[in-house]
Amino acid sequence: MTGTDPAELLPHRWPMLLLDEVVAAEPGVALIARRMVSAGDPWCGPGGLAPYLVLESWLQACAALLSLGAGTVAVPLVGALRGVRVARAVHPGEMLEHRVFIDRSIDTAAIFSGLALVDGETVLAAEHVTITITRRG
Amino acid sequence: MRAVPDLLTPFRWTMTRTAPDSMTAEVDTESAVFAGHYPGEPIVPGVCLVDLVCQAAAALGLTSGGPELAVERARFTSPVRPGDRLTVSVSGGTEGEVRGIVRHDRGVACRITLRAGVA
Repeated sequence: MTGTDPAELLPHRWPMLLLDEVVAAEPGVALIARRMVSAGDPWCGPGGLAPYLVLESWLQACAALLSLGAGTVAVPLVGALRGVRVARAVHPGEMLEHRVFIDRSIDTAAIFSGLALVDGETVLAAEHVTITITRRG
Repeated sequence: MRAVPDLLTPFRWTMTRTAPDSMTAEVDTESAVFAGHYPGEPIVPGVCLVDLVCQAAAALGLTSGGPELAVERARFTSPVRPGDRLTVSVSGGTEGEVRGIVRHDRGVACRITLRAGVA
């Protein structure tokens, strides 16, 4: 599947939806998503999108993959991080490409790893990230 | 209530030092974050708690405030909601680590270990 609107997979909305497009995905396995960082976007200050918000954008790619596998849009919560590095802020005009992989799934949680790239440069590397989903209601 | 929502910084943490290694901060109920995270179910994003610990560590002189973010470990155990009063305790650990614990009135919200040399 390609070209999916992340809003179909995530409960996040403006100004906290920090993905533009899911460009490729294999449910339960891997997903690639993009975010063009633009001046005037929420949270894009003079220094660009701060590292912790680059991480939020990457986590949303993980949550989108989890929703694809679950077949429903649910509220995702980050449970744990291990070995996560974000090298720098991302500046207006730069395209973030998130590559996320499910290493293990357990019921309504999954463990992810992956990268975020800007024009081939690794700006984020994550070894072990746990995300859980809770049903709405 | 603000006429124009602040869209530059999710939370402008205003911290008050209450002990040599502790600070308090309150979650701004008016943050624009809650419009989208999540509609009808406002929760402070975990990454904003990472930012809070980074800021507390920098304020206490434990980190250099460099451009890189390095999270060795973090565990989020209880969601943080609008209006929560938070206590942030930060200490220097072994091998250049900085350990932070964020608590709200209901208990521990998260434990975060940063690499001090870069965070």
